[in-house]
Amino acid sequence: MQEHIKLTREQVIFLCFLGVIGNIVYIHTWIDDFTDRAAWVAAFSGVMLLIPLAIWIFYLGKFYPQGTIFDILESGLGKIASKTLRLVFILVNIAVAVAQLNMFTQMLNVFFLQYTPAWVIMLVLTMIGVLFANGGIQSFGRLAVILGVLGILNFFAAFIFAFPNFVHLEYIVPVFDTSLIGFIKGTVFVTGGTAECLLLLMIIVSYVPDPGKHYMWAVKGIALSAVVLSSAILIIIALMSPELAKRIAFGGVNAARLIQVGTFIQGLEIFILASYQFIAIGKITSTMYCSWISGTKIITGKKPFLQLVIIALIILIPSVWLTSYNKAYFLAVALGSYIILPFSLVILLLASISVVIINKRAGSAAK
Amino acid sequence: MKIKIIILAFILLLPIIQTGCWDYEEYEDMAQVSAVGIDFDKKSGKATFTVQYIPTSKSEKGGTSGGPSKKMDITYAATANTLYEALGKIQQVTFKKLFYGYLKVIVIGEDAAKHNMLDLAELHDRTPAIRSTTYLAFTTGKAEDAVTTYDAAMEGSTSEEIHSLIKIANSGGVAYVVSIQDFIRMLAIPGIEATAPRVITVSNTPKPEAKGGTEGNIKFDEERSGDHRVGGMAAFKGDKLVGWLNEKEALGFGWITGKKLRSYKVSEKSGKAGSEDILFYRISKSQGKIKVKLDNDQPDFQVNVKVVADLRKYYGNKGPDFLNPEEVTLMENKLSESIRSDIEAALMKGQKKLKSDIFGFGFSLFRKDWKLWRTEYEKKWDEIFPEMPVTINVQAKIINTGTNNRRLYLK
Repeated sequence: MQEHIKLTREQVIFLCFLGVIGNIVYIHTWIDDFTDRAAWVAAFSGVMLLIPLAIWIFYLGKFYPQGTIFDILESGLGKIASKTLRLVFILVNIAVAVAQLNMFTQMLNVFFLQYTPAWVIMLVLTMIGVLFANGGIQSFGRLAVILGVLGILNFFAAFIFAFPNFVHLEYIVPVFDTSLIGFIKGTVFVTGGTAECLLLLMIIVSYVPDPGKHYMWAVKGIALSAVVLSSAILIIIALMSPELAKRIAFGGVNAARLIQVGTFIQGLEIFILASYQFIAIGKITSTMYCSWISGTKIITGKKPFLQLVIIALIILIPSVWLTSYNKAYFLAVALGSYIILPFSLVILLLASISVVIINKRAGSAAK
Repeated sequence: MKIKIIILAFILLLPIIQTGCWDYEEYEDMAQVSAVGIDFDKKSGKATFTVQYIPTSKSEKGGTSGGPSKKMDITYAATANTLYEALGKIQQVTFKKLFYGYLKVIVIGEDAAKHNMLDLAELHDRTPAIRSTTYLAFTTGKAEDAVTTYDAAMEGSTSEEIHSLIKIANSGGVAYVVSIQDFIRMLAIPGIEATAPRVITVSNTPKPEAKGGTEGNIKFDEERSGDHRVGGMAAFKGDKLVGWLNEKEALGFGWITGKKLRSYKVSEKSGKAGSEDILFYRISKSQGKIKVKLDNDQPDFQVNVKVVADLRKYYGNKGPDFLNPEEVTLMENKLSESIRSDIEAALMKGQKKLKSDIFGFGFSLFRKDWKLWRTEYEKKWDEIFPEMPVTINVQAKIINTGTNNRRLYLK
């Protein structure tokens, strides 16, 4: 199902943005205990730490044009090893999608659609994901740009009304009221949680023209995400106080509910809901797409659309079975703490070894 | 082609499972709850939940109360072992679904505030149907009495009246707006204790009458004619109500905590002088800040207040002909003295009597040196705070003397 299409700079930037920002729902409540008021700084630093890893992916992409990181693994380590790693990659993506789907659905259930069964919302979101993933990488790239821009606009459209009356400087300053160890813990967790972006980059690197040269596209995307994620956390803390921000389930929505200008301007959480919706759709589509592309390489030449539907069902069924915000939250925390970043590092190390092996082979063949 | 057909089928399927269907609700089928009263009886351990809602159609109210009353709302009260049981009972007798999206005010009775506040805060903060911006108020008696009392001379609902009174009191400095969110925040942030406005209910009728009758522990369409006054603040220590600030103390609290006050202020009465010796001022700008100075890790708290005011009444029988700069300085001193007296009263009540850091001195210390606060002061703040020295600095500026610059002459 590999397409011979090239992504534009904007598409790569916003695909990175979607990859990082999807964790906005849970990430700050987990790090607040370690980082206190410095949560937003830790978020910024944590996301920025992804940049070397993203550059690493683009650098590896240089050695295998139009190939994913797993294609490099296949060339270097062989089919069995690469298929095994692809399978793990698919499972990680599915777990990410299950967590995302549940957290977003439960947000809708808590604030907006109390009586709508969770499976209906999940089904709709999964179907939208299938539609967009099936459209191919270019349409997904375009979608990412649209969703990203709309999401950011919505987010700031709501929070602009928070200034100046609802923003409390005393909740932000002093900025660093935490230990260095706490701050590092929080930063590393953010890197782990937002490393979902790397999973997407491992696939889309094959669609980047001359990835060795265009690594700045990913750098810009990640830097944009770092600014948006950290400013979102900063605003939530400034509105609610760090003490309350750490216990809320849906930061942006909860914070936006506090904004009221006169009698008429209230209910601004609808903007944040829209932002979350864009993020959730983008995130589910990206995990589905990554799983699908990897799946088609395991089972080659067998009805790709059917494979996409099967991937969608594999995401939907455990999501419906789980149907719990709290379980999904802890699943996301576990993925962010122990799985995604270590897995990404292992893949990148193995891909680097593969490049060395490929180069050696090419060298000995030339002799 | 097949794929396109499948995709088209998906798209066509989407409207069928439109998610709105499950949550569809007609506006007329909802009872718009505007005020809630919560009481707790320590002896029996039972909770009373009073719900006031505004009917969504005229016939609904007309059919229930009758008579010439201008009252726009219906009030039910139910008592049960828990608040949720009481709420369930009220829902049993309300033929519309109770909707809390437009809730204006939650009034909490004194006993509930003393014994049950943490549960109440948790309940209201966790319930998504209730907006965190809903006003919170406490009453010296029962919340049921406050919510069921309505002003017969005014058209409108009790909730609207209490809501507006709190809002107006805020700039006058006799009480301050506290939302659910503000209250929870004060409970959660170390170095600051919670406060909330006080509602006082007055009526010639000793008890509200259940016009619709009583069944078990449910009172139907309960009401009585009377009035409300918002003045003073409820002061907490942890999650327990420990006392009340009167209007003067509440004003002092406002100066200390830097509330934006637009109030009228009078100078202190000095000695045996009559009321003609009292000057009147209109405060146009106020700024208050707690400043912490550390000397060998010992905090020295300073309350710095800056006030800008206009003169509204000068002496009737004495003073110089022209209100010259020297005289203006004297006026400023008198105003400063008066404000200082409010601050002292508030400190006396909050710090010395109630021993509760409602002003946030601890929080200011945390902001000054968070390490020192966490290692030395946070855990023993309750014991140390009442003995902490506080210096008061007030700067009052009179920027004009109203429409005249000479005193009034008597022929």
